Amino acid sequence: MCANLIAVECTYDQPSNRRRNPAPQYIEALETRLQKAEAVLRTVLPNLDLDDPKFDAHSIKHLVESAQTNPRSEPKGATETAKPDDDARLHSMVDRTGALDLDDTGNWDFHGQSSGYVFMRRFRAQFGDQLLPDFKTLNKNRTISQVLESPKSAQSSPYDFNLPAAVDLPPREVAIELCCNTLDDCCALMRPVHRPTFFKRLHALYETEPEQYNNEHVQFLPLLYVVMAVGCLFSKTEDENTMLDIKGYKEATEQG
Amino acid sequence: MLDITDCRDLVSLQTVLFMILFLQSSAKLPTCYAYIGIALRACCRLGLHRVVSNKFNPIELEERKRAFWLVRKLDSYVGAVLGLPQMLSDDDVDQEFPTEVEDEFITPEGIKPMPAGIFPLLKATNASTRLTHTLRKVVRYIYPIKGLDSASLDQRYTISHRRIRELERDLQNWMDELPMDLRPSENANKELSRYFKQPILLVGKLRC
Repeated sequence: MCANLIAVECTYDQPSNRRRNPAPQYIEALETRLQKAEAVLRTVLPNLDLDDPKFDAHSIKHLVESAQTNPRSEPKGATETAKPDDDARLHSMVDRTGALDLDDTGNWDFHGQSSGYVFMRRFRAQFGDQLLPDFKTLNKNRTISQVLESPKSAQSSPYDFNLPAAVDLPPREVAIELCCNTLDDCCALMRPVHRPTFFKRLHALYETEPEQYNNEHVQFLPLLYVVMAVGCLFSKTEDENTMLDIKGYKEATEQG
Repeated sequence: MLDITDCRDLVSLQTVLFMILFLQSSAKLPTCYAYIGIALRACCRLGLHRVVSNKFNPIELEERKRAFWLVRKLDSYVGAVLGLPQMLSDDDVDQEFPTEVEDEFITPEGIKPMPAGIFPLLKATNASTRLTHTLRKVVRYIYPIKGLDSASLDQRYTISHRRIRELERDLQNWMDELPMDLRPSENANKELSRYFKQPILLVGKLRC
């Protein structure tokens, strides 16, 4: 229990620093220090019961005294302290139920236990706002759900039904570049398509007149639109016009 | 153009997958969750979660595996971040991981051997897919729904330290199995494994 208390305190002692630059070594260093501290404690006070449920209530001085007055050579006690935290219970940060919220427009939103939403709520309840200065300023103007949503999506209407049913394909070079963005940058580690096959289909599509599209072409068309839409998000040039166009493609596709 | 509720072929499924990536990249996670649900159900209808005896050409076979494991991974991540349940149990799945070969070497005729010295990215993909197994375990252990002392009015609960240690062991094993090229000298993967080291901070970290 002692060990866990220390861990929790250390972890949240300076959260704002870690939020900005979470040094991976930091946690490891903490763990090593904790292990050392425990080892020292056990050597000096082998009778000190780290799992003692009274630990919180009693003062540390009192515990140290009682540990010292106990006979040191008691074998039973020694074996017990040898495995102090084998099945210690850790207190969870969050409550065991999630949060179910209703917004102004009558939409329900459930956030489960493991969600960041519940975590942050609990965190704020426990430590107050002062530890999260950046979060607080964010929160003045926007609700949490707005923070989680992209700002862009709140402004532009996601479904504009005035769009023409079919949007013309961009020039082949643009299409290829956008697709490369998607396949090589965005989802290099999670590519669900076979790259050569994808580009073979792309070229086939460009070499066919729209009137002569066969089933395979028609099937591939939405995929191409969406891949280009994703590619646009990851576009290096950040061309505003293309961005809007591709949003249009995306919407057209979703409508379809 | 596409009826996503009747997604019965690979190309349509891939389309939905890229829609999900689009939504994920534009930070609309709750919407993402809905689409992932659709994609996962579509995967099951296409039989992607099972090893089937039908004759597919190698490209199609690999695309099937990739699509399935990608959806599965997204489902785990987005579910964990939103605190919403997974839709597929590990017991329902016997699909194999994608073959760890670069795309150029997969042809309709067969999978050609790769020359030495090429590191297929799919090795990293599969490693991160394996990690989602631990992520699911983290969610199950750290954020249990049942089996708690429901008599107590206190909403807080405790977690066995032994289980935390088990999770840490899992992560260590995962690290030990990681291909040499992906070992901590590469920051990206080091970071990835760090996210899970402190399960209590898991969600906060994932958001970062």
